[in-house]
Amino acid sequence: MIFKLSKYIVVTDVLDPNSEKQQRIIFSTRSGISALIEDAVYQKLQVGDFTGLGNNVLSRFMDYEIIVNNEEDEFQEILKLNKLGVKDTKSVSMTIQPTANCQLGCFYCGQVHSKQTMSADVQEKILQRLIYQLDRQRDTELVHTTWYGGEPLMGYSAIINLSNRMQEIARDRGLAYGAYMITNGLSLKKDIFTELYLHHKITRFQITIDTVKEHHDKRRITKKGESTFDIIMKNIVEICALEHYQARVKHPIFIRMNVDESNYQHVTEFIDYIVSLGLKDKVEMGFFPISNWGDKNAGDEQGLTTNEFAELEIEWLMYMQEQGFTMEYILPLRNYDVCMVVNEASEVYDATGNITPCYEFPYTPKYEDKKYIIGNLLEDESTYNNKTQVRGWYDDLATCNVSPKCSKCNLFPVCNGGCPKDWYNGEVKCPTVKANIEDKLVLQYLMDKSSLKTLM
Amino acid sequence: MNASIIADYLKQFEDYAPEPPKEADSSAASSNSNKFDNGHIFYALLEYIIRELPEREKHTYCYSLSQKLLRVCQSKERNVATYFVNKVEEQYALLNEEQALEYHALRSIFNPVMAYYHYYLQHDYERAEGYMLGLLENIDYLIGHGFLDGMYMKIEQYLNTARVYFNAGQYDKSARYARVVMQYLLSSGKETFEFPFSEVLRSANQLNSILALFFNGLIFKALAKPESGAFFRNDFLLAVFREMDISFNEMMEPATRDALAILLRISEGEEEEGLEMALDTQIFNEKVPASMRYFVLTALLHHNNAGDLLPEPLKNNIRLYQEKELGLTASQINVLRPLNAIV
Repeated sequence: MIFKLSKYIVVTDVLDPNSEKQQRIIFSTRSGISALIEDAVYQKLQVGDFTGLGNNVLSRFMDYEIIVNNEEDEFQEILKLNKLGVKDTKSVSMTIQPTANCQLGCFYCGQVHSKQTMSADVQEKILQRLIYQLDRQRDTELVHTTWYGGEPLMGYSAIINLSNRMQEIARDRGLAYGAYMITNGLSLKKDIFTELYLHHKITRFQITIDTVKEHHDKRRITKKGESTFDIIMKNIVEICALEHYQARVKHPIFIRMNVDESNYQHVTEFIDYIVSLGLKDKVEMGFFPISNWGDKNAGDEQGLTTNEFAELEIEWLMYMQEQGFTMEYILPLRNYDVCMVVNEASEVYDATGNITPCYEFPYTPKYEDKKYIIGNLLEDESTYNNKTQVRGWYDDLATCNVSPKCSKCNLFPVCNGGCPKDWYNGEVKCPTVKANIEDKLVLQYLMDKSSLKTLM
Repeated sequence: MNASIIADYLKQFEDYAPEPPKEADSSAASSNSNKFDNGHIFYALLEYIIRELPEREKHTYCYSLSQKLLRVCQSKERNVATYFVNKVEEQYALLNEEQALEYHALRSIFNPVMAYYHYYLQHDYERAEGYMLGLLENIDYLIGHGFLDGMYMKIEQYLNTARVYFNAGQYDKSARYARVVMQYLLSSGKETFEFPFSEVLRSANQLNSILALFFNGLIFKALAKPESGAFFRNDFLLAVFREMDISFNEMMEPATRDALAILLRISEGEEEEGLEMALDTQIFNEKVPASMRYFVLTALLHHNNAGDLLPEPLKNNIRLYQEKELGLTASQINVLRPLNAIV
């Protein structure tokens, strides 16, 4: 048998050219494991010379998929594993949109909102669907819900009813239950937070604040044009002051910043603002590039390029670290699923009863076609389409029907194509990590040397 | 025996307080370095093959495959496991029995994990049995070839075979394998194996660590399954441990020997004598396997309802001792013997 250096690796430059030890970081995207190696070793790996490696190192490199069987078509092997791995999921995940309503009229949002809230019939059908999924997935250990909208808190009574019933179903089967919520934060008063956090096991509230007040209030405004920054921040500050705020998890609130060319200069200012409020140990923060959604092309119109965003992201991460934020692991993980769309145990239920594989489809005119919709909960199951376009992502990749670039990309195992929907739409948009993975490797190394498995 | 005597004896748990979690320290690693770690044995086998045969990369690849399959089995990724099972089967197909060392060595690496896959993920005991029995032949070949550390694989394989038969409800077969290996481990001689265990043992610590693993594996399993015998008169345990005609290994912890004698006395129906022995010996220390301490403690609490005489704080301490010192979870305690019914 002949062996080769995997093509699914990322290698940094020599970390310190002036040092006696000329070391690089090597990151295997097939295993998601990074390691320090000496430059001389790397040079030999590149030419397929493994003779200088000790037995232990050779064994680890094979374990980490850095050295692989030469006969393997690596891309096809990864796809094979992905398809199998997705079936090994241990959770049934539901994204539930209890309402199609939202107070806000953000310019980049692709949804068309209405006053429709989820009926009791649809709620009952969701519970039946959950039982069906649990019966089908025999290894399930967790029932997980993401409450999403519109603005989910505008469908509060449906949340409470469904959550109580789903927790009961999970309890009866000896399964764990957990939940997240994606909310604009306007109605998230401290009493509501307390109820949802303590009794409905929502342990992550994602709230979008588009940097400082001046910019947030230009874009995340109500449909009547009213500003929202002060109300949302007041809610966050009051919630973070609650005695039980960190009773379940360290960071129940995640602040998301949608960034484009109009507000990127204010990200650090907003970080300073959060620090000044004493929230740096209470909230987690993340930055996301504005992208196209449905018929709204905000990404094309005023989004940053991938390279621009990637460069800025590293600066912001470093700035947050300097300000003393607890930094999470920033390297991409090796997952078998690209996102929820390839996992049959993961579905989105909207207020009308529609079942979709992707949370960007509901209420979005661009995705009203049948090829995007699995079915409607109020209809007979025989009418369901279990082969919606995006569900076939891995099969289509295997035959190179879409996204031929992916098969040639060394980051594929930790990206799996990023967003299948975009590829099917003909949009070629790789995640920003493609442009800053080497910087992230170094930053992660500096942040926490112990998180790397040092080999030599 | 009067219950109050037992209650007095159990006062030793009055001062019991669980130790705070120990901080990791570098010296701990060296003091535990002789503990039994079966993962190292497979790596030792890989190094042996590499020394003896060409194609280092191929053999390392095979070892790596087996480790990957083991990990996904442990995390119950049954679909991903099929991917690695197929890869392993490809390698089986390439083996040539005439190249005997490679044949037996690679089968020794693959067979245990394939047996584990069929046993743990597929609950297919017959296929698991096939891999295990084949493995015993492979290991014997390797030992004969000079890989003496293969004895560690052999003893573990006997325990695994006993486990598989036990889970399949074949208690007699299970007890036969268990008895053979326990006789060997407890004895100073070679019994039915190739050489005395002391020839490969690194230290007394290592022997006692192995004994704890084996005793606990068998005793807890038996006590948790009433079909294998009554709790205090367990036919399976008697079949494994009764009347072993051996001279005990001198490196064996004396208190463990005492605990075994007490367990046998009680199991043979001589409860009074067994408990008197328990009162006269010092078996409630960390050197004695947890399963034995658990058994004797349960017997003490049960005898003439001695547990009822204990004050509440002492009962709590005993429960804490079972959880923290014997390493049992509340649910394990309940599966083994509902403690609430005792204290």
